[in-house]
Amino acid sequence: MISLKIDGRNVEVEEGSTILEAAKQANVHIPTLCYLPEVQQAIGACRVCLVEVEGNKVLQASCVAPAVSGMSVLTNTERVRKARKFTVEMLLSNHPFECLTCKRNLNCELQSLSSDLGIRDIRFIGEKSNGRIDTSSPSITRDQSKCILCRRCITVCHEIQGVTALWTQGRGFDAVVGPSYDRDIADVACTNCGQCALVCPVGAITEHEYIDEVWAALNDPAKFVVIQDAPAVRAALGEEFGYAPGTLVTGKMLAAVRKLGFARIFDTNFTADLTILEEGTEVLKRVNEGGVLPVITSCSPGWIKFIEHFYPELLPNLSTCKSPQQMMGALIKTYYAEKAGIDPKDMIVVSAMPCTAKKFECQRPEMRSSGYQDVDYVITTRELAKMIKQAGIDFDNLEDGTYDDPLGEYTGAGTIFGATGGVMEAALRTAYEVATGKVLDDVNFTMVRGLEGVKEAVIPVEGIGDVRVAVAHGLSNARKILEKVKEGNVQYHFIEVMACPGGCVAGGGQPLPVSNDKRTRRAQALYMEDCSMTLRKSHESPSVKKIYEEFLGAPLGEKSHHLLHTKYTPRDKF
Amino acid sequence: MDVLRAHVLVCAGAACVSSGCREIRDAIVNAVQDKGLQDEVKVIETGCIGSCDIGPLALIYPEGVLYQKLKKEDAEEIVDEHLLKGRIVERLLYKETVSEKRIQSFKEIDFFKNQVKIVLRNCGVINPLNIEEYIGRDGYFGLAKVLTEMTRDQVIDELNRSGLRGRGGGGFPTYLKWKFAQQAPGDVKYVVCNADEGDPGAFMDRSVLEGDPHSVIEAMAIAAYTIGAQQGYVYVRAEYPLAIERLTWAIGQAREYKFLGKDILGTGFNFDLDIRIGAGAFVCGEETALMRSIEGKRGEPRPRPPFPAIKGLFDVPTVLNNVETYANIPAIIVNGAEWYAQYGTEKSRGTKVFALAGAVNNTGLVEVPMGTPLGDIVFNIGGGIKDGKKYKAAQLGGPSGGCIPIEYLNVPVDYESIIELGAIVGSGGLIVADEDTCMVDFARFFMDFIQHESCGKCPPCRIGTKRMLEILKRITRGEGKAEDIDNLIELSERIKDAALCGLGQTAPNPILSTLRYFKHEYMEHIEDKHCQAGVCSALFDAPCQNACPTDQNAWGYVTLISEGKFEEAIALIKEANPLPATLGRVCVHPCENKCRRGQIDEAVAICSLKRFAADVDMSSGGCYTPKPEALKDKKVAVIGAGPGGLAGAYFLALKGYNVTVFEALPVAGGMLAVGIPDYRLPRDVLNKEIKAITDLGVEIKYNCALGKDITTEKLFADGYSAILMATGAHKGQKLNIPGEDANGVADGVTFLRDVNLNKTKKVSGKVVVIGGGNVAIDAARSALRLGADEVTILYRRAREDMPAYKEEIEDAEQEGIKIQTLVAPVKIITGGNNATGVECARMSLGEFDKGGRRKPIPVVGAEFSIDANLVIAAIGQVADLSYLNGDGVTVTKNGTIEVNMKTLATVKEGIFAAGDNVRGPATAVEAVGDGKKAAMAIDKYLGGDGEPLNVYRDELVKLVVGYNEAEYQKEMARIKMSHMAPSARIRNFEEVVLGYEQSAAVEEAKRCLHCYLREEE
Repeated sequence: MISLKIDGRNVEVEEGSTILEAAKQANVHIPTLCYLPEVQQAIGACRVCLVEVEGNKVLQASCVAPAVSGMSVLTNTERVRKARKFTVEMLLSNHPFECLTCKRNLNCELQSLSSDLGIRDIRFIGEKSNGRIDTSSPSITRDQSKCILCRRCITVCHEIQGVTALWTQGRGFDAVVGPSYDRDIADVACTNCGQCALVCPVGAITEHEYIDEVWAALNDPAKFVVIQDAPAVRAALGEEFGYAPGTLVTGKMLAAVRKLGFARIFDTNFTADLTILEEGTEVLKRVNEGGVLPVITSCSPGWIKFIEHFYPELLPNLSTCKSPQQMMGALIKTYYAEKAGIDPKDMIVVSAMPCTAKKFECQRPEMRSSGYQDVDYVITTRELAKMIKQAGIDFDNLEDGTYDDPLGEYTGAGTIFGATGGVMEAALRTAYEVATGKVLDDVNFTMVRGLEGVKEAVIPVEGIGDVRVAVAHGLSNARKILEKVKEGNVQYHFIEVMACPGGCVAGGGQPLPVSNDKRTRRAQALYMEDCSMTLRKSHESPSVKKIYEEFLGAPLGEKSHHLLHTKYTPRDKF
Repeated sequence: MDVLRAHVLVCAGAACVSSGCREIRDAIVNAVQDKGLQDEVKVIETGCIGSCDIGPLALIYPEGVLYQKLKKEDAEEIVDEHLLKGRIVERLLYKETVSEKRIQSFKEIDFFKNQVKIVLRNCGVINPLNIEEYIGRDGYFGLAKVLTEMTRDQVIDELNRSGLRGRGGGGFPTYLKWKFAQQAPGDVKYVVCNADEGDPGAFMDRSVLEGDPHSVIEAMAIAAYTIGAQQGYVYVRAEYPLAIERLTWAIGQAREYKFLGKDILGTGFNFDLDIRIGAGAFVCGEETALMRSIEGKRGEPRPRPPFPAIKGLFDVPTVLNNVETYANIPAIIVNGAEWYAQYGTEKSRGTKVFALAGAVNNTGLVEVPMGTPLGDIVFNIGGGIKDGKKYKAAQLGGPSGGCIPIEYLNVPVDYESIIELGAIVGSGGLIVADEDTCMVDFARFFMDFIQHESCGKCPPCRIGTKRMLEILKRITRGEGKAEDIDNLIELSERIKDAALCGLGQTAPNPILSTLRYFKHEYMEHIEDKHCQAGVCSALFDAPCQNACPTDQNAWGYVTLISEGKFEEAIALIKEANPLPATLGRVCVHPCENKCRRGQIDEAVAICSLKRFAADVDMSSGGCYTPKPEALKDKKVAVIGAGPGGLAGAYFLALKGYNVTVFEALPVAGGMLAVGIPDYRLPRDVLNKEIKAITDLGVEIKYNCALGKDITTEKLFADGYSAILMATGAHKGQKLNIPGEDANGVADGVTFLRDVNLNKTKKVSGKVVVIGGGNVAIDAARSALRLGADEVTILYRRAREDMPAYKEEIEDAEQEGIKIQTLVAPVKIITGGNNATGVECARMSLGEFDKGGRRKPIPVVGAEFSIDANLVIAAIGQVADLSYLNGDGVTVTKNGTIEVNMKTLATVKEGIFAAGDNVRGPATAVEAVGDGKKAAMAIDKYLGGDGEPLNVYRDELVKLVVGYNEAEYQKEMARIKMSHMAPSARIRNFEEVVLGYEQSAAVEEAKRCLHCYLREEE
């Protein structure tokens, strides 16, 4: 431990701490902007956290300056206040004054900072940066005019996701953050995961909104508009309405969605259960028949695009199962349409997802097995909240709503799909029982839960032997596993990969900001629901059984193959 | 090895390579072989010899003869004459700028003889591609000594005692850096050399790498031993291909000789070196950015601490020094710390290499002891300012540095003294700016550079410097606002505080230092929309007009003359100047100083062309004047019929005022009539122009002195609505030495006035004139014409400091007048009551004064005397304002009338002042300009628009030039006017300069480059 003075008060901190950490310990608030502790970004770039270190000629960025024994730090001098304010003034002088119409209005860190620092006018007016708006991607919109070059997105994209779609380019005033050579984001190896949008402090990177299109469909009397929603949505939507992170708002959400005018509400959890049957069967088949192993899950579309770009040689390892969202889309426009007697051409399928990559996924050319685009529009949790607000719905006082039959029933296994390790756990529950014909004593495979980057487990299964599994979330963790697979030193049977750290609960379309604490709470909400359910294994779902009897036949059968499975496209690394 | 008779060292620094030294080397080698001298003469390609502006260079030993500006055709002559016959080729020798003397031995050349070479000890001496030549000059002895005799602590101690500080710019003690890295824990450490030299105009590091790469390799090995590193990197910018080539070669040789690699010199010490090539980003010279770049990442700085000595390249302890710092180290180790510490000042030891560039005569690399006065570098080594122009400032330390104005030429160039003046020594960029540099534009240039080179990581630098640049650009476009200065200061202060790295923290320096010393230039741009230096082209049509105090549309009349439109030319001239025939003869023509043609060969003879147009006009008998406006019912009084008063009267008359001029003397013209002799300005020329003014209705009352014959109170009472005082500066300054009151001692102006008024008709015996200005020359030449036997001018400073026109000085000498410089009178020797001679002291030049000239100091014991029957003291004039008595007009402490310089209004309402009584002794054209300005101010005061005549400008801009311009754009000297022969002119007052023939005038006018025609930006 070392001791130093902050604003005259003695503080004891561990050696290796920064001044910012020391200040926190002394309950001294230092404003920050580019600093992002959870992704280890302390680069001292934004110059907002400047402090004066006595005896030091220049001001220090407290996020990166080491706390030194005996040092005396002043955080609230005239010089410091002026420097911080000036820095933000500089950012504002090159920022569009569009706060009222910005997607991040009232949820913008620059806005709050400007307010906290008491900036009252823009003293230095001049040229503004090239305000290129990149709408090339169906997932993500980049508005460079709003970018403040804090580089959080770059750090997340490089360090956490290992994708490197974004870079700093150019010098001086012409410096920009974006894809290399100023290309469109759709033209580079971007996975659409949207983690950049989650950390962007301003409105420079946001989801590509489809709110207007969805309203237009709802307003069209000729359209039969159906919505499905993923498990992670109900675990986070409440935050947009002031509920504590981890509050499950399923009932209110369903009531609100009904009020928005959707004709039917189905649950993506249903197809999650279905996925387990299809994928589980696929894994067992490959194990028994000597197919390509390990099998890797395919429900995370960001992950799918990642492997297509960076590990195309491992595409045969992917499960051929479509993601639950796409399975649902295909079934709505075939099975349900037939059942309800509606022409699928008049149907619009909307997904409410925690995910920006789903927006891209639904537009893939292979996702048209119903003969139409299976899912028409994907909106994120944030967009859904906006629609509820636009409609003037009193969210707090809604009576709980329900899902519609027959695609609304689900098991606990389906709901935990929203957290990292959930798919693996659900699969293990079913695989074990199907393979052994025995009933599991304990369905809780806790070794695959939690925020550890790479989780590995060995499960002894009678008749098969040891089943070796691995779970990764965050794409740089996925890389670690894939490298091991390529080296051939480990013999996994089954691997779950989720593009986003923490899984779908912290997807690129979830309420802002995201932290590990929120990741944990949202996941807990899903595990709690799982725990509270009587049916916790996908193969026990009556509706799933019914759809095989009525429509699909058997897992991996011909109809399944046509509607529920897909193929992948190798892509370029750059 | 054969004993060689001569060595020919051909400079192969990058500058000489690009100007073709390789061809010259080949030609010399061939010629040597042709003559069969290959066993006697060795031709060597060396590194940079230093003086790049006179390259390609060859230095021939043993004599040390330097040949300059060589062409391959010269090779044969050098070999044939010098190497074979032992005769020096005079025409290829270096020529000193001032004395124009050809100098044989390079050691006598000012540029070289004032230098001390430690860093550059081998540059230009050895063949950088031959390690044995390096070893022959004690190379690698330092490394051997360190490895075999010294502990690591001893090396650090040696460096400590040497006082060596980082030459990259920071000036951080080198030993401390090494000590920190040595003490930092870790098994892996690195040694890095910063060769990413990026300051505009700086190339010392490049020259060392090109000329002496082994010195850096050796020093890095010493550093590696000292801190415990095994690997080093030299980070060189890709724009230095020759440096990279030679360094690569040298590293290979060093490995071969076991100075690099495993078990160096059998001591068990391992060290190797690799080159990393940078893409040439200025910011990569910042150490943390440089290390990022070596790591293969985007070259961006990171905050410090942690410092590289603790956490550097690949996050391990690293010593990072620049090339020049390293190059010092082997010499320090071999010769000892005390030897090194003898050079320089107490806190800044050793030498510093500067890249001297800009407006000096000798540019190139110079190495001087720290603490050498800036003026010595600029004037002794640099040979002073090109084309006789005036020093304005030196930018030290590149874009992060600052400028040092003329008042501080004595500043010792060391870290502390330079910082005190708001600049930095930096890496040694030294750019000299002359009077043609606009300091606002200068700051803009550096800010433009910084903005382009900012990495963009932190907002203060990325956006702040952009905002500063925008403000500067606005000011240079004439769109500056009053608050801009405050905004620049605010931006500067904040950026210095908030920016992440050294680049950003020092980015405002060029602005802060120009604001510190040249705020008036900013104000002039903002308030008057005027750029005195004639650089900010948005503020004027052409630099000639911009330079003219009368706002004379010079480019217009020159163009009209080139088209044969003489009448239009005189009409245009007379819009701005009532005395063109006069000023065409005696003007100091600031227009020509700024003429763009002067950058090619010689300025257009703008002044003489004006005289031509005026002479053509008057040759028909009359004298053109524009048509005055309708007569107003208002009277204005002008006091004094000199150039200021006459101009005031002329412009007021054109505006329709009833003007009366009151003149104390019996003649009109002021100094033009009674100061300038007839041989320069024939009286009838002046009189014709004065008549044209009186023809406009201006009345001149002679022998009517203010304070004696009239008073301002009376004038107002008589119905004059305004008064313009233009009484000049007619009182000669005293010498303040014994004997001054004797008979036969006169002051210059009085002497000339008496000559011009025919009071003095004859001079006899020996005449001594004291002074170096135009009055001194006029007095000397007049005395000669009136019969003096011998005329001598004594001047206390150097000849190049004489303020008189160069042509006048030359004319005087042609007439037989002797000029003795560095001589000052100490006493007038008298016989009875008459002067018989002058006792003089020889002077030598000491420190620089505030005006940038070296102060003359008497040399003790070198007194001498000179006989004289007449002593004329022409050392300056002052305005005689004794007439002011209760007028309400105030006087400044300089003895001039206090006015608002924008309107020339005195503090007394209704009274204005113009010319020498406002400025002190100045020029005729300034007086005319003042007269014009005052007239316009009076017009405005009396309810007019205050706008001068401006009929022709728009017409002229559209003028299409009818001749083939391209033919006149090639190099072509100006056409000279013919002069009367000295023998025919020395005993009379006939006009000496005879003016242009019509065809010559038209040809000369065609030399105009029409720089006023510009494409829109």
